[in-house]
Amino acid sequence: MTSFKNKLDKEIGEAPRFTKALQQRIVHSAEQQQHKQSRNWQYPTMIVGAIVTLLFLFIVGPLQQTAYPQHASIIELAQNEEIQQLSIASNWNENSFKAGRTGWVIGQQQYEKGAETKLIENVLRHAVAAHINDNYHVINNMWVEFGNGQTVKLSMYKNMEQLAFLDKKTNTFYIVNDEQAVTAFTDFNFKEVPFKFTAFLLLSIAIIFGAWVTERAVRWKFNIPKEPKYVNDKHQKTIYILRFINVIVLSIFNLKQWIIFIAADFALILLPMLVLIATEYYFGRHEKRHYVAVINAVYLLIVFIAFVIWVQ
Amino acid sequence: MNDKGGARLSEHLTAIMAEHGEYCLRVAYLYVRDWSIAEEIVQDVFLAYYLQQDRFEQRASLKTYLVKITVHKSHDYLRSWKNKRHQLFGKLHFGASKRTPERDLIQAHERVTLQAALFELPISYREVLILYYYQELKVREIAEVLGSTDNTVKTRLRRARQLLQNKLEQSDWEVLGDDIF
Repeated sequence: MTSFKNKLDKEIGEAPRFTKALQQRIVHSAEQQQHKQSRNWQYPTMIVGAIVTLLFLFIVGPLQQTAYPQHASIIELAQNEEIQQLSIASNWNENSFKAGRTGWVIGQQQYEKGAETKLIENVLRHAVAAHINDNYHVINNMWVEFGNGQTVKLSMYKNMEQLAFLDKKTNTFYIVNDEQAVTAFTDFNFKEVPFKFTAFLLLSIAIIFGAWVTERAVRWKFNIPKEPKYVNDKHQKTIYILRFINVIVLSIFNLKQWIIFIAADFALILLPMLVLIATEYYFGRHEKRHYVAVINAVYLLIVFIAFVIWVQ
Repeated sequence: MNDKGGARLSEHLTAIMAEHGEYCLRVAYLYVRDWSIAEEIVQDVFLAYYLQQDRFEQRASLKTYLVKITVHKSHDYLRSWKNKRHQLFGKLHFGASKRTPERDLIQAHERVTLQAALFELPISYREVLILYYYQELKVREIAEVLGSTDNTVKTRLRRARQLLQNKLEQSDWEVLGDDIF
């Protein structure tokens, strides 16, 4: 025994303080807790709630774009109705479609009723139905909403200076014969924003550095250890399983082309993060490891939201 | 869990408490300076241990593990609004009381005790002294408990000793001078 301990014990009293009554109280509480805490539904409920909410948003959002019935051809529609909203996304693959309801799809140009929609109306009014022609190649996908609420999904094709459209729903091919209308439209549509690689690289480095600094700051502030990486074997296995599921889900989203939807990407980021926070809380809350997961999730969401705002 | 399993766990908990309860309680007291709150903390410590025993992987000794939980629970309390409110009311009450020569004399005497000097130290210095000198943990174990590095613990210990030396009388300090890390 150190002299320090000896002296301190004399000052605070050497008689045992941990009484039998206190022991019994703890045992009693432990037994009660054991029965009460057979299942902790708090976190599963939170996660299920988040999943249901996101699925709901996803269903009422992107999937709604096919809800309107299609009665008329796009020529009739263009002649009789004004275009209310328009979105265009570059896509050279005939088998995929990357445009969607405005505000729901990432990386597309979006236009409300105005000069741009008038140009499209003008082009579509001069279109005529034709057989599918292999000389044309797809360059864009367009999602158009007309004044009567009807929406159409069109693939835009190009051959030299000629334009054509394929209605994805009816699989009807249209060729535009009016050169003036085509020129007016192409002059507007093909204004491309130059991709600045250096700026992109610097931004990426800044984001990664920001994430690193944020994590370091949280670990420093709350004394959260970096090592060992996992609290125990179960923690390690759970993290590995989660990563495996993440890769599978990401592949499915990619294959199904849901990745273009903002809500889907949001879900793709948020759900694994929520699960990770719950996992870290379950296994490492005594070391406050969930703080790191929370701050990482917040950081990633901020970056994602900033990215979405930037690309819109 | 069936009754037999529950009874076995309760017996196990009782045995663990008999061995480790007293020093956990004392550590908690040295953090929070209130026996009733220390009892609550220790209750939480053993409840946490009982409900999540599978998390203890015997990488460290059970003593270190329980001290670690006690330290974390004590920190939780010190950070809590309950403690802040308690301290605020304590200060208000102290400010309202009248100073008398007798009271001043008693306080002057209390100030030179090791306990009083220890409680005057900031928690980051107090805790390393408690864990090193009172709990007799090694520097490495303290670093593990506090989630910091060995060097940080050594620095804090050195500074804590200096601060404590300034607060204690020379005779009291000499008694402690033998304990060198």
